[in-house]
Amino acid sequence: MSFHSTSNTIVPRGTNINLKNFFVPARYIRSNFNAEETRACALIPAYKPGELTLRLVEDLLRWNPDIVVCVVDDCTPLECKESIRVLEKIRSISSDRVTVIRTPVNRLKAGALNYGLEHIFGAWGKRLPDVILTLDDDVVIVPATVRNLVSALMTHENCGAVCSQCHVLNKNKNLLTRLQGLEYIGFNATRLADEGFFMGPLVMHGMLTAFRAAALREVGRFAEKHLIEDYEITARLKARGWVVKSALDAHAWTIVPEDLSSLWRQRARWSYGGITVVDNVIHLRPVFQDLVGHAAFWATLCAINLLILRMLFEGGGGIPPYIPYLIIILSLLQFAIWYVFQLWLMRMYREKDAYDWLIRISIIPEFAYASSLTLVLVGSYVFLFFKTLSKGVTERSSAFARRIVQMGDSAFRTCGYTESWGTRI
Amino acid sequence: MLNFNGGTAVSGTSIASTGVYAGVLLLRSGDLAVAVCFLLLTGIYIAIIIATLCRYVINYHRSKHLLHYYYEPK
Repeated sequence: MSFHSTSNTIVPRGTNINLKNFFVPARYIRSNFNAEETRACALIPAYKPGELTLRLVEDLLRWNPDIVVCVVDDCTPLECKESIRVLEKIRSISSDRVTVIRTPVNRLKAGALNYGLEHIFGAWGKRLPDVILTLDDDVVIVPATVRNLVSALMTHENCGAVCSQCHVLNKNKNLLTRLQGLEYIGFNATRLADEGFFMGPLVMHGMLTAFRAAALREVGRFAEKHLIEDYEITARLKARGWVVKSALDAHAWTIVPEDLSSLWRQRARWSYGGITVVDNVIHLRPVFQDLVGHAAFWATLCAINLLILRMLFEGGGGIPPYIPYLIIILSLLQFAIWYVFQLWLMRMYREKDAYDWLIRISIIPEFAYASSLTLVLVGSYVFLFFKTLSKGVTERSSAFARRIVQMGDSAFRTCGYTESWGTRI
Repeated sequence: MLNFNGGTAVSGTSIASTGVYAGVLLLRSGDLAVAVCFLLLTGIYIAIIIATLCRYVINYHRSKHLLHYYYEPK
């Protein structure tokens, strides 16, 4: 049975929505594979790489005897002596399994990935790799990470990509990094819950994902000048009929923002980038979870506004008292379920300490954190509204209108919202 | 922070507190249509949470054998 279209027409597989899968996830079709015959290539886009990049390359080679590593130096400035030294060290590794290539100009992460893919597809000729791993340059892995990722990918027949479990390397730095450490455990849990549901988790993250080379060739290049190219390519994979999943036994660690400003910018990019993916998608199935999220958010916002307006302008009215009580009970029940599950999830958090337990049990820090991220989302909607309106302003528009748009762009940029950055900033 | 499966839209823990607050306000005064809206909304939220948890538990049990293996980075 052929599932995948080779033409440009997107042919999603299994367009029927199975309501059963909301509660009982579908099982993925398993297949046999020969680990020894599977060729894997790791693609690492690097900009101003540090010691972690060198460690990553060495670990990849040490623990995966057949892997080929391609580091794409995304035109790191020569003035960055430390990074250039790291790249030199990588070049000097005496192995024919490492290649360092340099982009002619800085192309940002997606551009560097495409540059690397062109190199791989060109250099490997007919013996293309079976698996292409994309990794951030500051990722830390353990011996079994890549092996388990490749195994999870190749043992599932229609699987186009498999991502690793995310952990925070610098989680003990401060309260913010600890909160992100706890949040990442939630991300991993969400991915597991989404396995077998609407073609799998929403995003195969850019931190460490293994792609089936055939799937990657089918969907084409990573979208350049996109805010979150990992979500975008996941949506395209799903639209082509490939399912995706996470590998429970493939662990990887990354550095997370340590201050509020960096975190805000990162989340603004994720949030607005997510909205643009949903905005541009043709088929809704690949972004279903996001649609639910946006719809629920807007419905809540509208209901709150409606409540406030009715109370302000009409005063009291007679409603059966059981309705408000039911609302309160359901809300408390939701909170209780959420809280118990959060506590249970701590068993999946091996790096936890007493401080993390305190944060989780006390609720308040995570509540404040989630609320601040809600503000990021509100900002993304406002920015989307602004960009939609400003599309009508052209060179022919009045100087006043152009000035307003310019000022708006500048204000949003200050707040971390822009359309023009890449992943690396 | 798995409150409900909301993709890249923030999974605001706020609906629980908002729901309680709205309920209290509606007890004092309110409109039937708004009350029904909130009731529906809280019902949908809890359905999403339960569905997500069901899938999580099932997938967890299906993949439990993979959870034993673990290293910490040095």
